[in-house]
Amino acid sequence: MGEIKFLQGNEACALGAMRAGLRFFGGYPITPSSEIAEQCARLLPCSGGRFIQMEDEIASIASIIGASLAGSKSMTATSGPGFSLMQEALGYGIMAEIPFVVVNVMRGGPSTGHPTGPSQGDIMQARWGTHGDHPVIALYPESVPETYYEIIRAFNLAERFRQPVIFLMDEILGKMNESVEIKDDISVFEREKIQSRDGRYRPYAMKDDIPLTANYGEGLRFHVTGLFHDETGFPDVSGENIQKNMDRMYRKIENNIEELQKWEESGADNPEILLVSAGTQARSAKMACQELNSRGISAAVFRPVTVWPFPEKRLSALAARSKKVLVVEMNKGQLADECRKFISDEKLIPVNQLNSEMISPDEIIRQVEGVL
Amino acid sequence: MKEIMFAGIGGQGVILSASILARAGILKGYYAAQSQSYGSESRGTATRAEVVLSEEFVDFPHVEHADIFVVMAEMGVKLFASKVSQEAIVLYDNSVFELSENIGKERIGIPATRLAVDTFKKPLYANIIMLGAMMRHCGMVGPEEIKTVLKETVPSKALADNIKALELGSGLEY
Repeated sequence: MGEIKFLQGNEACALGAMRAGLRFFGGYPITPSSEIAEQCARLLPCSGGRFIQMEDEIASIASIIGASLAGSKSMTATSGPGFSLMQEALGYGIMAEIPFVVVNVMRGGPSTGHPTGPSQGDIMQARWGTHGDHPVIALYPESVPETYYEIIRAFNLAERFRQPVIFLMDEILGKMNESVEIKDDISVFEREKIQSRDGRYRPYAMKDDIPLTANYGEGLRFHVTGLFHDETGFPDVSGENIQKNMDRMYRKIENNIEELQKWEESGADNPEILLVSAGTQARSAKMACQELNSRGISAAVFRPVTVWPFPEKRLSALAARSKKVLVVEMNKGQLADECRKFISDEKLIPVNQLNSEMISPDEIIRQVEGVL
Repeated sequence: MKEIMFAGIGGQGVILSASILARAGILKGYYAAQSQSYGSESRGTATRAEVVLSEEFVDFPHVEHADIFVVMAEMGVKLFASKVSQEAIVLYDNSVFELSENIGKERIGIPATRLAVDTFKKPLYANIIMLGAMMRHCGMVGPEEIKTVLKETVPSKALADNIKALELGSGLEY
């Protein structure tokens, strides 16, 4: 058994990132994420890394894009208002296929909203916040221990797929403290070193639909752009190239969906009542589920850990066997809207609350009793 | 499993008390979860800090039915009484306010702020006096664990006074 530490969610995020090999953090502090920056400022200089407090969130994400291109595992952390500012450069990262991690500790919005209150209002912003069609990877843990291990997975996926990864947390998770077992056995993915070779270097030559771009500063010169580009890295906005690369970027995710997706199922097998919930809110749903099970009601919880790409196939199969599907979330029904694509309106019941409190187990039980 | 809720006004140190209790619980080998709610202003608004101590991982990390409610400001009673179990022990600072609500099973007044001012010439240690009183009723952590956490948490020059405050709270007769 590993060492047991008592960590704050934000602290676990920073420590997990260090464990994954974080070498650069560029950020601008914002409640309720500031402790992530604070911890990185303390930890990085002691381990050969760099921490820079930038002038704003736009500069923050730009700085981690640069650091990642130079070969450093990079991260920034923010909350809703800062995440909004980062959207354009996030799109650049997706287009130029640069690995980095953006942490968004969700608070009440829009705008300044409620800095010290939790929310799950950025689920769809994580999916569609930046413009244009694009694939997205977003993870959302439920607890402090899971935060520690999922942030490591976030880095591994970013590096493996050469893709920014959005790491969602919420105010409750960021600010709460909890026991964490620090295990010795973790796996960390290291970016492949690209060596100089004969002929003209093609930074966007693909291997299984994933580009193997070299690190700046290691001898190879190449161009990086937010325009559609060909294998040389230089712009090519021909219709043929745009279609080809869009298809490939989506394929990069779709062909590896099993590696990317992760979810948890708990409660009854073949349940009549299926509760769908993510992040800390899912913990309330699980407690409600246990109480419902003890009262003889057949209920289960489906919790996506990888929120994007959404685990549609599995949830669709579970929902088909259930009488009612309650989607429990601290927003106006963002995951519920996604579920509407494959669950009928007669079956789907959104359970939403926006009062800066997690929806309690008692309230979830009341909602379930109302539909039985 | 025990659910303990601390409430007061931002600046009174209720989050620190909860954090010390949770860390002491970890030393005893328990699973601990500690969370809080507070206003954007940080000081002067109602603050709630929650601790769940258990033998194993607890799904729901918040206090829904507090077994012990430690409350240092009247505002905290009004806002958080609904989260207090009918079987709860309520410890309140009766040098700050009189408890008129009929909450919990047993209500015990601890004159923490007055004791802190009398002993230390400032109200600073009232939260640790309350923590000492709470420790007696919680039963899951003892003075040794809390003292160990205090050594790791508070500045060394304030350690002796913190320990004195803890003992003051736990040694009160009522």
